[in-house]
Amino acid sequence: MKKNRVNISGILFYILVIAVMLIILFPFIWQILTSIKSERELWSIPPIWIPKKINLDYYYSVFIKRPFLTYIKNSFIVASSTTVFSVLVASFASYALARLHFKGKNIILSLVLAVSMFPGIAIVSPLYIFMMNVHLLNTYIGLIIPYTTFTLPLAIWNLTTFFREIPFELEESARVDGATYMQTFMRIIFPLAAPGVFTTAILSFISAWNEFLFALVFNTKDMMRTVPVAIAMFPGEHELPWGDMAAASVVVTIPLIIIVLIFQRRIISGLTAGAIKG
Amino acid sequence: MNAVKRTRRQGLSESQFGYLMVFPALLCIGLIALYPVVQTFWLSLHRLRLQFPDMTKFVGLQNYITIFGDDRFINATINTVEFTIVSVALELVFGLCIAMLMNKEYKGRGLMRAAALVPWAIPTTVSAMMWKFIYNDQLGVLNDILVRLHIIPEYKAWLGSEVTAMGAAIVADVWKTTPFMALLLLAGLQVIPRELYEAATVDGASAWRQFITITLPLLRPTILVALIFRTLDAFRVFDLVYVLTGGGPGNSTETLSVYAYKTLFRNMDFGMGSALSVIIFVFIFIISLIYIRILSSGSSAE
Amino acid sequence: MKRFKMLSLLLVAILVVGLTAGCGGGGQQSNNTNTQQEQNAQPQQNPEPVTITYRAGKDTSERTQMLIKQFEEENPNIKVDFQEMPWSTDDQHNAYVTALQAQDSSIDVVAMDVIWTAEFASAGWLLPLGDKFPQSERDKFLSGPLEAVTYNGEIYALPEYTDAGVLYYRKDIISTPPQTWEELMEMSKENIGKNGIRYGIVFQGNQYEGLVCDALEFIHGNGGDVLDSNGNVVLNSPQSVEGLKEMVSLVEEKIAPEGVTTYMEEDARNVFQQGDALFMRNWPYAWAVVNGDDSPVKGKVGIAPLPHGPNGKAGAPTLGGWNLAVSKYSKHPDEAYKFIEFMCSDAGQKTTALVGGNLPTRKAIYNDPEVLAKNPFYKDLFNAFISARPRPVSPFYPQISDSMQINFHKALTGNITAEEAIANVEKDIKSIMGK
Repeated sequence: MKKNRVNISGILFYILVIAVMLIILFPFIWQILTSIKSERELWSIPPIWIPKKINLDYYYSVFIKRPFLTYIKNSFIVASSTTVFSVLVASFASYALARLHFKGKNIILSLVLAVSMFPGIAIVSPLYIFMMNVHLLNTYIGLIIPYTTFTLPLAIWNLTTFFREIPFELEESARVDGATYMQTFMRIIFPLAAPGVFTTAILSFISAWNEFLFALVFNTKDMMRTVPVAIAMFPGEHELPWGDMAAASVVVTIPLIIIVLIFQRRIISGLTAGAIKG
Repeated sequence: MNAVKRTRRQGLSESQFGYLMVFPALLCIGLIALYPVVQTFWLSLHRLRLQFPDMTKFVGLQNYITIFGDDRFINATINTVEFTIVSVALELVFGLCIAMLMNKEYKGRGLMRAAALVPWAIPTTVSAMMWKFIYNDQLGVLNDILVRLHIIPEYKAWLGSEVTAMGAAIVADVWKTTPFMALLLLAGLQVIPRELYEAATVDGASAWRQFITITLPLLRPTILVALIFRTLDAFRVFDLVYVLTGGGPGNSTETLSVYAYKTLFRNMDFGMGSALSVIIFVFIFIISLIYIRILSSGSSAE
Repeated sequence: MKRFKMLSLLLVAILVVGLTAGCGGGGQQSNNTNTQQEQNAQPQQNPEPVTITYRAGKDTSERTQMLIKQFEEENPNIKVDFQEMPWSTDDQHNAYVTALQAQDSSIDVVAMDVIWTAEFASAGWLLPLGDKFPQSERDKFLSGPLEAVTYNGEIYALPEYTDAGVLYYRKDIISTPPQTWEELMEMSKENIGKNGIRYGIVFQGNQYEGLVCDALEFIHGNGGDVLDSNGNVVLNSPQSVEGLKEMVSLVEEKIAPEGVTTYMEEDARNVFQQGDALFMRNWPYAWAVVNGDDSPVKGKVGIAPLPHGPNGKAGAPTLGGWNLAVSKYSKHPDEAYKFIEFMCSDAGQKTTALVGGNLPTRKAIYNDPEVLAKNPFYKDLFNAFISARPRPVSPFYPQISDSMQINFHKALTGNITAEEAIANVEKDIKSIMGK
């Protein structure tokens, strides 16, 4: 009797999960369907849901017409370097802000936050002049540096929240054992805040991966383009190859899903680490 | 306690170490962000239109005075506030629900987590175009679904009417950025010790009661961070609106950032454009202060 | 712990790759067309050739590549580095404004939308070309495009290709295309509901630059105008109001679909191509597409000059197209000019028409048998093309356009009347120009 009730509520729960997933994924599924329709089905009025036969032409043209793998490589290098820098720099700062005593902490926190309040469009022109003068246009670093800077505020704020949660006793016992500040930070604080660290990493990665404005203006050479700009390159003056663009967006989303699947294991391992503290 | 620390054999005092740790972040920000920000402030005090380089001059607060008397600015502010409040509120509610779904333990949770992130992983301009197609008055799948379900009698131009255009933009934004909210909140949920819930269950507290007494208070710092950063982004919304409606119909969806963008890069009016950017900055600054007041008052008392 | 170390090692590896690859990217000023890898592998062997950078929107045809190849063969000491930009004119404009106001010397040849010439010239970003471009040469170009590269009496660019609005109609349903908008409305009302026709006409009604092009055709085609020849604002006239009213009534009387207020070129083209609309206002590019093998209306489409209003004598298509200019900050202005001269030469223009499918700017090309064989409608529409009207030539054009976009769109969506829209725009233009 009791078992049955559990089962029913379990089934209801799974129905709920599947429903939520369907709603979330529907536009993306539609995008996938779009990417395998024929040109005629794509533009038909009213819309056709399921194509008669699977058409992979768009995928073919995404990789053949343009060096799309190069764009993915560029985006990957820029986004992963940004993530590493951002998480490193931010976790140093957050550790200090969350756990050490020194003057001016609140001022630093608000200064960091204020940076992210300016609209990107206002910053792009002065930054271009700076990048031009230091010869960093059309380089990876020219994107990595500003991306790191503009992902820092979220990273610092988020990590500071997490570092604050970690009980002080753990840190103190380590220090009593003779560990330096750096050692306690690397061995205790950083691993214990793993859910926060990996969340921050994913968020930084995706925001760097998706950035458009700086990438458009700073990196104008074809070989240095990132994915969002590359996708914006598909349309012509009077041409909207929506099939190609749908295929491209599916292609670039899948590596991200894989990365998330890898990272989310880290989040779980952080969970078990978190259990120690309780 | 400080004395104990200082006697340890390390070269740096606590505050020295603190400054050292903060230094790289401040260097980045100083190098990259400070100059453009100061520059923008400075330009906003000038009449500076790139078409007329010879007419550039210092005008003090004139640009701000002009802007505050401008109907278009007021319209854009109202649109932006409407967009921000509705979309951030919806995102918080949905984000919290999804985060709790992702935090529960069940088979296929990994898939759920990856799926929930998909919308955020699609580049904004692409997702905006995708929604434009979904809303299309002829070949849009939204019309198809609603007509098949007999919810509306005939196809509608969702982006072509003042009544629905803003709502359509908000839906697209909520879809795209709820994952951001959910992920941040999920990380916050995970550091709440399980034992608290176990103890509450033993005491016979209902799930709702546990949510109110345990989850919400402990999640408050994370909610604060999530709200601040979502609000910052929503208030500066640009790509999405620009691609979906271009500010139309009849400017009913033009946001402050779209207005600033048009002023800066289309009209090449760097004086007014900079002033608009500064105003956006000030608005966001005020909003952040309010959040911090409301949400961190509790935690500082702890 | 071990896994954590592994992960950090991996991250460091990525970082190192990122940094080295980044450094390889080299400076902006490096004058070598080769890709980064090649640049690293072999130091410059032949210092002689000059490389010029040509920045333009993405070309979906082979035209630009063909022309560059031909040019490089004819000029072995000049190499052309074609930097493609996304097609969105706003993205291009944005990137130009940022680079040129920074006085960046890495762009030599600038491709500009016709409406940008005045503002870029006024900003001092373009090299005046008057003395290199003699009157005898100028006479060989169409007058509209030539007017569009002239600012304050000086020439700042050469016209690369032109464009003009035309009327597409279903020749299987209608034998003679309408002369006036009124006739068009009547024909539409007669045919809606028959032969699968659901709408009379589709055009570009979204709030964007295309709306300005379309609306000005109604205003110009009814004898109205924005600025007179002395630059005075004369928009608010009964003719302009009546012209705009005709446009609004297409939406009000449901001759155009409700969603036309969200349409850009391709939205309109698709509805027409699916056989749902009797007429379409669009640019000549659509001709090849609606007659493509995949098109449901293939062979059923006619093309005609635009209709006019009750006070107009002939349709007044809006002038579109692109121009090529030399950046003032270019380090190789002579080579850059040579290149744009070539692009706008007879040979260049012929390739533009044949391969690119764009309207040439040189009169002679319209009589070329090869070109006419591919685009038979050039002959009939030549008069319409040469009568194309430029949008107001002014360094303030973007602001003027902005006001027109907002107010015309409000009128189209029924928020204000045509009278109010015209009055608002006139007020805005006066205050913009008065500043």
